Amino acid sequence: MTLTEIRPPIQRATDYSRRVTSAKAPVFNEVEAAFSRGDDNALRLAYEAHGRMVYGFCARSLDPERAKDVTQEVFVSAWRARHRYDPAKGRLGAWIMAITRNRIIDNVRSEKRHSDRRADEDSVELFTDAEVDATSDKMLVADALLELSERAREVITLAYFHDLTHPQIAERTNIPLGTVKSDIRRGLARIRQHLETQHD
Amino acid sequence: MTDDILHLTDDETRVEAILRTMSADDLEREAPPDDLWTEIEAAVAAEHAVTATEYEFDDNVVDMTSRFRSRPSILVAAAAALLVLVGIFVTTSGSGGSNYEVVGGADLSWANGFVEGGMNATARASVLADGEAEAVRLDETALPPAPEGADLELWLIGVDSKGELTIQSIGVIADPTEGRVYEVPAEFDPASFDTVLVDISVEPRDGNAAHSGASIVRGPVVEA
Repeated sequence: MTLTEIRPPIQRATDYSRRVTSAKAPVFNEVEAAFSRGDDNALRLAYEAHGRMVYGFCARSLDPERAKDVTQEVFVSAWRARHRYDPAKGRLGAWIMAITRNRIIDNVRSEKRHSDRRADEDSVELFTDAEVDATSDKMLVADALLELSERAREVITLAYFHDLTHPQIAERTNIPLGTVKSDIRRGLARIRQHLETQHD
Repeated sequence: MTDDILHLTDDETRVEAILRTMSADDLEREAPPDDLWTEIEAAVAAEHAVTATEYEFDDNVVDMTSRFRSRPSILVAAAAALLVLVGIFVTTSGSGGSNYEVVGGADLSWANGFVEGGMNATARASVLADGEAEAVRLDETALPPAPEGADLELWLIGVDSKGELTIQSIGVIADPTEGRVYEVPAEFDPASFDTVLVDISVEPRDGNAAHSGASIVRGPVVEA
């Protein structure tokens, strides 16, 4: 085997990320650039930017002790593999969440193997892969929502969390109907960009 | 219909579908434990405590069967402090005709500062135990051949609660694909460390038994 024959590492994306095919202009920030360069403080910055999302994802899928361990593993692994992260191919948060998703699924499968052997004990309800993916999608969308302007976030939450029609939102918020529609449309586009990753 | 009014793309429609499954609770963020960052920082410091050196690879496969070295443990001070305990639990069975059981595994990958020629290298190691001793088996490998005059060598790096490292050679890798079980010397007790890392390095045949610092891949052991 030669160096050129070595297969590239496989980095799976979340279900959502795999479905996304469009390639708009990349949106990345200083944290992402610093991370890809391996700057000294970049891991700390990445943790400050995405630590809550990663830990929240883990805490929703695993017990508290494992959630903490897996969060640590995710950031250590991400730092080790930072040369594979390309800001032009997607947001750092989506890339780290793909790593988190894989780690959580590995842990859930491991726990299932344990619980299968503990048939005499109380069974523990464990997430399926699809449920882990759905949680990942929600966490990423929530993260994107929190980055939107307060007005855009409000109209989107009223539209989708509270099922209000656009005219109802306009009436409740005193925002012109056309602005409500454009805020929702732009907000959805921003969220979509937030979820995109084209890493292998 | 909102979709009809907004003329959404397929991807934006998928975002809508996700939003419709969410509630305000999904916007709440649970803060990570206060000491989590310290532990991440310590784990990263431990991984890089063995410093890497430049090493030139070429594509020539060399005969590695003539080299055999036995290596002592070496203690090296590291900046690491708080690290997460890697528990070792017997879980599954089956290991090449022995009584070994798989108790853990490690995904090994290249990192910045490692040998540049190994940038695309990966490996998967299983940690085995039979109740009395431990061993390591390489299950999946994508490793470059060792440069001429050097070998690939398999190591365990134990990190204790004080952040001190114990680096133990467990064998020269003659053929990464053979599924060989590398026995762990009795003086290296994985359970005595907070973290155990599996490491593969390039070792020049220079008579120096210490780790060269030229790692190709490395990864932490996690329980099976």
